[in-house]
Amino acid sequence: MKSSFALIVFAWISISFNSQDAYAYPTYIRLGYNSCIGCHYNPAGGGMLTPYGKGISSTQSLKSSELSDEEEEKLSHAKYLQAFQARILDYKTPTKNRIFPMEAEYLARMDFSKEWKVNLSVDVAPRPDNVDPKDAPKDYQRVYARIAEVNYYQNNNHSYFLGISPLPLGLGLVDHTDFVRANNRLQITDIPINFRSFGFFEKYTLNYFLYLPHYLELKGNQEKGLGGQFWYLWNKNISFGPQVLVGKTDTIKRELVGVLLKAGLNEYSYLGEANYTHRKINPDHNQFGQWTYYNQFTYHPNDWFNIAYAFQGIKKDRDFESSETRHSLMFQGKLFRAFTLMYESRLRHVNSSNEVSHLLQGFIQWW
Amino acid sequence: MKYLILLSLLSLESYAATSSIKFTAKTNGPGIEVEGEVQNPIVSMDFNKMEGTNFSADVMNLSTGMEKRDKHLHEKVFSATNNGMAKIDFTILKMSCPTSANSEVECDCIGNLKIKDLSNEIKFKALVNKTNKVVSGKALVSLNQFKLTAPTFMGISVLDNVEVTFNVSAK
Repeated sequence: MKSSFALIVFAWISISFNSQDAYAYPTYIRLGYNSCIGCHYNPAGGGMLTPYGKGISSTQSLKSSELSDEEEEKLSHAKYLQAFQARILDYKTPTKNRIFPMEAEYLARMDFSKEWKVNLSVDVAPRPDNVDPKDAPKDYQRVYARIAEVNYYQNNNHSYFLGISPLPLGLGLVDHTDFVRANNRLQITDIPINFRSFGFFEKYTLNYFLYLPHYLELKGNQEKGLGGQFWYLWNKNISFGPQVLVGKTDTIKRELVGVLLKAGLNEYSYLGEANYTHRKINPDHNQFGQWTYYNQFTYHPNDWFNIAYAFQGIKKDRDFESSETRHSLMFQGKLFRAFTLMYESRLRHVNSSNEVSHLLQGFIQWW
Repeated sequence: MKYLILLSLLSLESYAATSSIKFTAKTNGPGIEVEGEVQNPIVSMDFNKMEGTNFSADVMNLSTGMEKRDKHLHEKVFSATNNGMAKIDFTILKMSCPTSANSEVECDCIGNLKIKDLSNEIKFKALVNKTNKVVSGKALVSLNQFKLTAPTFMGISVLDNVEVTFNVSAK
């Protein structure tokens, strides 16, 4: 039972719809935000907003509002902050139409002292589709801790984390890149037990991490490894850098190297990522390479609305030869402080077949 | 006399369309810089006599790319809600350039910056390109010196020195 539970939960978390924040703004580089830590407690972005992030978020909606003096006072001095976020998704293809709550998260941040803090995210995974009822998890079994970590905040330049959390790999913020993230890791979970270190400096940011498998992970997918990411802030509008990862399960060793680019100017922004992963399968010494890439061009006519085009793909070579590309056109608007609506039209091309799908997402976050 | 005044006015060139004046304010928060620009600055410059070059703008024309942030900037820092309530005015008082055959020289500048009713001298270096008739450079402006309250929002505060970069073309 434990294995089928783990399989179902991690199949959803790792492959389908793992998300950190539906309305994250990695494109804020165009407005002088060259890293995520100004607005998020997680330096890799997503999840719980800092008081400053909440203040910015409140003003970035069609019906914008500013935090009241009471809210500002409460947030600025709070030792315990919490938020709730959830998404409802309407996924439509020519043969399927499914409306379902995609994910619900309770987020918390506890400050024990100026240096020591705890981050927590308790999630409810979506009810799995196409699963034999006898294998389906009970409702309480879909609840899991996506983040449970201790944060040592040394100063404005150095921060360290230990616990369960997603690896700070790739652009990593918006759910659209999950296709790339999921294919980079294949069956491996994105929320291992890990130690992460972040450094923020005038011209660059640096993070490295060491990780061990999550205790719920299936044995064959239990990976340990290490990696890092470096962002060079070339100028106020462009930052780029490499990322690396080396991981090992009982049967597969993977080595990933990639490049990342963020650029933005006025109403326009670009996000790009390209990775090459080499995998070696132990029993038969089979090996193969895999390319993944992600490109997103976004136009922000105003603070609360944007239109984006994303082009992403994967290509495997040798015995696993296959390819898949996705073109997405996205319209995203933050209507109220707590509510964001997004529509995405996708054209998916797998080997020689095409599939068109439409997604409508409603995202709620309040605190 | 009228002829002389007319001649001197004609010799001044206004280059609003080819002027770029931007500012960057660092904050106490990592990864957060506030960037902005002065929209539609009025620049009067005689490239043959740089002293006296003047730039002016209404503070309502300072823009950071975010509507609410601009509102905070205008209202909380400059106490201005409409055009004409607060102005920024800058004049180059002295410019010392090395004698050089090179087309580009670095000059030491002293200017008078007036923000609202308070004036202060500021020193900076400017790069003058004689071929392209372009003047560019950076200057640091202390908010304290002009008795301006550093903007603070949810625990993030702008640091005292704001960097101003300019690029003015006489072509």
